[in-house]
Amino acid sequence: MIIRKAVIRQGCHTRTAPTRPWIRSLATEVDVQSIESSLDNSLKQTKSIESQVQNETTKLVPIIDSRTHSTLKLLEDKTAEKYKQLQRHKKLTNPLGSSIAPHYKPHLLVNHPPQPSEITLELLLASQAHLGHRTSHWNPLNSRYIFGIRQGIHIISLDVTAAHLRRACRVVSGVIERGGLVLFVGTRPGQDRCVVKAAQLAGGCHLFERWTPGSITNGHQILGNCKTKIVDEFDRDIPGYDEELRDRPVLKPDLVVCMNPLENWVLLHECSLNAIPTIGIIDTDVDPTLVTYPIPANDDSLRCVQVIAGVLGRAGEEGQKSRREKAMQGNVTYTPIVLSERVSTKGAQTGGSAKDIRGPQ
Amino acid sequence: MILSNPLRQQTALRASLPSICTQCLYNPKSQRRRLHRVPQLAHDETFAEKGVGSMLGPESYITAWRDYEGYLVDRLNRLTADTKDFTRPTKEILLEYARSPTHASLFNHASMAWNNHSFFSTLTPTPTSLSPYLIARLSASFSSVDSFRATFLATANAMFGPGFVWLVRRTNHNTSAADTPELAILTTYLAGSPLPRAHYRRQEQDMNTALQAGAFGPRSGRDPKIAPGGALIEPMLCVNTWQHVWLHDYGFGGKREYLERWWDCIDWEIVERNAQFDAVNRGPNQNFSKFNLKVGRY
Repeated sequence: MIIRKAVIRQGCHTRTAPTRPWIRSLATEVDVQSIESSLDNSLKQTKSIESQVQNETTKLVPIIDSRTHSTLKLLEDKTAEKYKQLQRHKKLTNPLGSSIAPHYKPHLLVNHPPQPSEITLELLLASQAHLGHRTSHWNPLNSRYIFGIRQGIHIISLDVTAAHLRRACRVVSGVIERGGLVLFVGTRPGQDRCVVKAAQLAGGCHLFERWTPGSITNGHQILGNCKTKIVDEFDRDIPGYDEELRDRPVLKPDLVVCMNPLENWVLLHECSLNAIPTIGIIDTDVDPTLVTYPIPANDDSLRCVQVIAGVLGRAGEEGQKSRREKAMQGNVTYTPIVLSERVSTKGAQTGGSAKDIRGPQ
Repeated sequence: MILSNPLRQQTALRASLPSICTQCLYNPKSQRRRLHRVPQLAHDETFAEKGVGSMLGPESYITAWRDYEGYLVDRLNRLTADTKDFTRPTKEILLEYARSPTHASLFNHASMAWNNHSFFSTLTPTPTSLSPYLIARLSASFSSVDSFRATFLATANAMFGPGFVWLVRRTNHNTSAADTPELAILTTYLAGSPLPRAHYRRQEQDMNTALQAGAFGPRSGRDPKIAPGGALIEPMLCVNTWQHVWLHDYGFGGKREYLERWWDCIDWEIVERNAQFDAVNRGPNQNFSKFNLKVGRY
């Protein structure tokens, strides 16, 4: 109270002057220095304690029950328990009434695709994998995959399809087990979701828009600005090698899986020029020599494509798991790249001749 | 175009048809899928051979369960054919169409199938006894198990017309509040549903006698703050009072005797499992995760 009155009296002085001078000026009138300083100290102490307490403890706002208008005690908050009860109640009451026969669920095929061990002829038949094109549109190179003719179309042998699909699964998991990069390609409408999911499972790349011709043969032009990184055997980023990365050649896939080879023949040709093995769904009108490992099946049925992409994605997932397990045991399944200590600046100096751009090989 | 002799035209058409008859392959009736099927009860074979304890004979059981549930499921298949509900579980169908008068038939059949299955899933051929925990819970809400039994059977007996009577548990029950008991008896007429999300079709009252002065409004005794059906309840136990269940064995006047005999056929373990009593108030060894969480053990 004494201090406030002093401040008002000395108002014009206190605005500009620091605290010390007006305390000195008051010393002659009222001896409030000791009281004021002690109060100041105590204020500072309480403020510091308060700020410490505020910083260390979190303030919890009490929840008010809308019905009884009383505060709910937070220690008795049962939200999690109630949620579990609701889930359990649903589990008890949902099956009542009638039992639903097993049936096709499209979303499950994309989001939870089948395993390679779940490839059966019944699955392939239900996914319309056996339906080829009309007989007049066939490619005679495919005759070994065809079972017969029915109602004007070629029927693909499903046992042959199953065998080729299992082989393709083995190739995908084998490549990924050895640290390879797989590219899943599906450019027809509706194939994007399954292709992305397959790439996610296999830890690879996906493509569902048009393939830019030259992305492999002319990679430094088209994909030169793409970000690359270096990882160790546990897939952890190793920072600090930006210079080396700039000099290294553009990444190429180690395996390409294509859902519609007929439209992507340019991509498959580039792969063959660069010795990249390819897997593809070969319909009765498609040239089987486009790919290294053909899978004779129906590329026009979205369900069939989803089954094949899903199964190959799962195979990739198994390969990743196997690679990681071996890395944990100290067995690195691939030959690591050697990073040179001398940083190459030839590219920057010479202006980018082909040899410099190609980088150390 | 001049039409030639129709007989000659028919023979010409017949010649162009393939030798294999393809029409039978595309007959929709023979290829029609029926996805909804009658669920398998745990004690189905025992009931069909010997009946349900002293409550129902084998013929009554076959009529009330196999025939009636088969009829309901068949109607469900027909009503949901070529719609998005073709593969949907029955409970989801009844919850979606509870507020739709145009789909009343679909709701009725789905709800009746659900209620009927709930009823038969709580029956057992060998009489069971109530666990001490369940006795304590019933006594807390109804003062004793005998008074609960008396109230329940009297309620079921007094209902005129077909329906179900349920024992329900309030999930938002506050253990400290003594005015609203945890367990309650709920009646549903015809194909009314006790599920909270289908409250619009709970049908808990006979509307011919329920509507009178003072039945609605702030002084009617209905809680104004909670929306109708807003109370979250879990159905635990039910009795089917439709006449087709007990008429054959007891006649028109035998409803009371049917209800009393039903009491001995209840599987109290399943009833306790259907409710989720407060885990805090349970004993330390009350871990129910080892039980199969489906009603009826199938």
